[in-house]
Amino acid sequence: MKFVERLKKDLTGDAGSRFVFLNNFEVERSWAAGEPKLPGAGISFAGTTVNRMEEMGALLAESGDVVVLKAPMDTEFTAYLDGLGAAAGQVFAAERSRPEHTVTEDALDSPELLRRLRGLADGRTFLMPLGVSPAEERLAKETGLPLAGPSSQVCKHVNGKIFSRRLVDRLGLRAVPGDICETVGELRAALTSRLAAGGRVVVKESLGVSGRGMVVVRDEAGAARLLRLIERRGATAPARLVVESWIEHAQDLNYQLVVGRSGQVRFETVKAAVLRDGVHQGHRFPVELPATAERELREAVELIGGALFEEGYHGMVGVDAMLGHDGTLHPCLEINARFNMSTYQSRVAERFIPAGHHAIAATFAVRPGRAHSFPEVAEALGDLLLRAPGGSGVLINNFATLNAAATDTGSFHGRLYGICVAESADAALAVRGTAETRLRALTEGRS
Amino acid sequence: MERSEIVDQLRAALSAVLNRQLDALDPGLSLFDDLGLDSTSVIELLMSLEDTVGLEIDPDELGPDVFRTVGSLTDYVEAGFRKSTAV
Repeated sequence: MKFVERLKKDLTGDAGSRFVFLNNFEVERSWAAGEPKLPGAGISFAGTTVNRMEEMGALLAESGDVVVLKAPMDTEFTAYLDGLGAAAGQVFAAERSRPEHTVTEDALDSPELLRRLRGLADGRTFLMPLGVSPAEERLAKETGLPLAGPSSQVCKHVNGKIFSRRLVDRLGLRAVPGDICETVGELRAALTSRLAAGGRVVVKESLGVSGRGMVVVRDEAGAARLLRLIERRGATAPARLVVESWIEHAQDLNYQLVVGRSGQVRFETVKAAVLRDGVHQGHRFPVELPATAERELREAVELIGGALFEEGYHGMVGVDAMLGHDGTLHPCLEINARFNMSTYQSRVAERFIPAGHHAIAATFAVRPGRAHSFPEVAEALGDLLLRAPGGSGVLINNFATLNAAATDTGSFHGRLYGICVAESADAALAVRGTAETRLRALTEGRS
Repeated sequence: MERSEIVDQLRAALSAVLNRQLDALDPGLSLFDDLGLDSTSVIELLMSLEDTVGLEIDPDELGPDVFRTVGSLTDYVEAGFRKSTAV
C-alpha cells in the first residue's frame, strides 16, 4: 500500500476514500493567536511566499484526490509534473485570492469553489488539511466535508512545546535539560540555573511558529537584557516558555509517524538536516542511525503516538529529535502534530527515489529582479532537471513560491523547492550545489 | 541627539547583532530581507538600542511597519528619543 493509501486507511478506515488536500502552511500562526510572545516576536510579516507553499500538495494527491490551491497552477509547471507522472490529483483553485491569506481563508471567500467542494460530499470524501485550526473547521462546516483529523482545540493543545516537554518527562524519554516557565516571574531562575550549567540557552515560546518565537541567550549579559524587557510585564504575567540548554554540535533529525483513528501507531520516515559550512542545505534521506539510537527512536514513536492518541489526536505527526556526537539520542525536542515538509516528500520518495539512491529535500532561496517562467527555470537547470523516474537530478516540487512576492519594480525574494536525487548522499549534495549555482545565475541575470 | 547620530547608533547596533561590520546604511534597505535580521536578533537589537540611544522601547507595541526598512526604524527611534527627552 502506498503512502497516501496508508494514510487514508489509518485516518478514515478506508484506503479508497477521497482526500481534499488543504495545505495551510504555518497553521501554527493561528494556534499562537492570543498566546504570550517573547518581546519583539509579535512582529510578523505577511506570509505571501509561505502561503504559496500550498502548491506542494499537488505532488501528494493520488488519482481521484483533490488539491485546493490559491490559484490555478502554472500550465508549464503542470506539464512538467505530468511528464514525470508526479501529480495525479485534480486542482480546485480559489476564484478569490489574496496573497496574505492562507489557502483556507481564500477558499472560505470563494463561493464557486465552495459550491464545487460541496458537490464532492459523498460520505467517502474528507478534508485533509496540513493542520486543523478554526478556519479549517469552518470550511468543513461550509462544505459538508468532514475533517480527516481531530478538533482545532486538540491540535493546538498537543502542538505546544510545553506539552512536549511534559510528555517527554511523563514517558521517561531522554529530555534536553530545561525548565517550563508559565509566568514571567519564573524566567529569571530558569535562565540563571541553565546558564550556570554551562553553554548557551534557548528560550522558546510554547506555541511559536517554526524557526521563530525563540531567542538564544549566550551569557548573563544576554539574560539580563531579555529579563529587562520581559519583566516589565510583571512577575505574574503569563509567559508560556520553554527554557533549554543548547545541545552543541548535534545532528538534527526529524521523524514522522501516523496515529490512526483507532489508536494504531505507524512509523514512517526519519530524515537528517544537512549543514555545509554552517549553512542549512536541506534534509537528507534515507538515514542510517546507530543501532541503539534506532531502537530508542522506534520506542519513542510508540510511546509518543500512544500518548497523543490518549489526548484525542489522530493524524500525521512530525517529531524533531537530536543525535549527539556520542550517539546519544534526544528523541523528542518538539512535536509537530500536523503535516510536515517530510509529508510532502513522501509520495515523491516512493516514486522517484529508487532503492539505493539518496535525496536531499532542498529550498533554493533566490533574489530575482523579475518573474521567471518555468521554461526559464528548466533551461537554467538543464540536464539537472529530473524528467523521468529512476534518474539523478532535481525534481522541482514547488514553483509558485518563486514569483509569489514579485513586484513590478525592483528585486524580490523567491524560493524554489526541489528534491535532489543521486546515487549517493554526497552526489545528492553535489546536485543540490550545482542546481543552486545555476538558479542563482538565472535569477541574477548571469545566464 | 541628531538624526545622523541615531543612524550611527543604529549602524553600530546592527553590526553587533548581525556580527558583521556595516559601513553605510541606505534608508531603503529592508532589515529582514536585505540585512538578514530575524525574529531572534530583533530582540537583541531592541535591547542594544535601549542602551545606546537611552530610550525605553515597549516591544509589545511595535508593529511590523517599524521594522520594514532602515529608514522606518530610524524614524521610530528618533521619535522615541524626542519623546523621552521632551519629558
